[in-house]
Amino acid sequence: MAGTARLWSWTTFHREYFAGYPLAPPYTVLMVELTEGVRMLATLPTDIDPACLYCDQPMQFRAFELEPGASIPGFAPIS
Amino acid sequence: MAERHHPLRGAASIIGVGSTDYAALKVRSEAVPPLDLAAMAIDAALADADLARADIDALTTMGLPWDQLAVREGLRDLRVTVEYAAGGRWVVPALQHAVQSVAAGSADTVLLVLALSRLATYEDSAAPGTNTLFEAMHAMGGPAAHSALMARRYSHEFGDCSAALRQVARSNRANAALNPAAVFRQPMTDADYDGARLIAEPLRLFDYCMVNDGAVALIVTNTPAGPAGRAVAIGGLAASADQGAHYSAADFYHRPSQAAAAEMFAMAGLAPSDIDLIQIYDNYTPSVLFALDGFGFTPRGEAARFVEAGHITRDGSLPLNTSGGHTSEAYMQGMNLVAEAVRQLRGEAGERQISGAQTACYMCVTPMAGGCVLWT
Repeated sequence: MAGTARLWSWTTFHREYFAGYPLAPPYTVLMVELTEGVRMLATLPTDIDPACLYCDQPMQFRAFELEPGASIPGFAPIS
Repeated sequence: MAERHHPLRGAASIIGVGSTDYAALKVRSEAVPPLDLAAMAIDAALADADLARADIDALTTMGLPWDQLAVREGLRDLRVTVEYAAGGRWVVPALQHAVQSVAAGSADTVLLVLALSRLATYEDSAAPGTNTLFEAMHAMGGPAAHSALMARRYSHEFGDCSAALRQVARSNRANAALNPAAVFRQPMTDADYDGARLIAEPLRLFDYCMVNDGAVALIVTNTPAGPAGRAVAIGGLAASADQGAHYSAADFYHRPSQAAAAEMFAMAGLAPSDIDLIQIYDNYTPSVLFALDGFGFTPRGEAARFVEAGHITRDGSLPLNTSGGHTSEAYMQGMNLVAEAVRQLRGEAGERQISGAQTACYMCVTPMAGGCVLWT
């Protein structure tokens, strides 16, 4: 897999939805379309400001360590 | 080729509507049990239709156990009973079944009831819904989050829709101000809307439906012979489910909406331009745009401009959610919107009456879309 995608859309959560989730709001969830054509949800790594996002932006896979020992799919803009 | 007349076009009518006083229930300190709420709406609908409990021979519940309700209400010798989950998407299937039941002679008089209570186990509308594991690992909070994603994408493809969402919220509120039973009636300014907290950005607080206690009852029977009187006919109705990719599809609403709309309008023998007022299941304000486009009231992508031009206000060409919708009147999951359509078509909507309304359309867009056309 290429590990690349385009950003289809995203939403930033400003309230807590799941008690005990390691990320405190605000956090941003992405819907990306992989270069291979598959759509998937991903988390925006917290060092990236969602203000820089735009639809159809080229993205690169970057695993996001939610808590020690637990990583989830993340994508970051290709700078 | 001559237009084929659908055998069930206008065959069944809504002859009774009843609902609780949502505003009064909102200020009660204690929640009311759902069966008590249902009883209030049933009493009102029976009185409205001038019927007795013994006249009811079919019962459809939404979000309520039909058997407990039947015992509680003394509804006996029921020939058809159906129990749906509560949800706007079930309103049209429930009406379809009622229409078919009376047309086929399986039942004569169908009572449909929805009740929602804080005492029942239903969720905060902004809370997680039926999440998959893949949603849960990202703390993707419920259907509103998918509406937020779709709204942002809609803006990207068709132009910024944020002003249109604000217009929907404000128009609903202005309508609710004329409805004594509405929960939220205080005026809403642009600044009020813009100043409200973000939830699933780009959606703000006033883009969300409320959570409240209440109930709605409808009574459906064969369209009476002779003058319509207060009966409101069900001209056409259709649903279309596309659960393939559910909310995560690139477009969860348009294809099922188009399919349902084509069948609904063909059954009714009408086009969107024949409709005087509309009621849209506004769980979140973007659903209004998706329904306008999906059901063909606007060309694809032009719903936001249509709303911004003021067409959906009570003085506009296509008044929307004339009782305040789910964001300002009550969140009775579509049933209060159908009740409002009936009241408008009867000319019984009081201060908020849209003069001369003869046709109305209810629409709900989710991965399962549905709509119905009502006329008088």
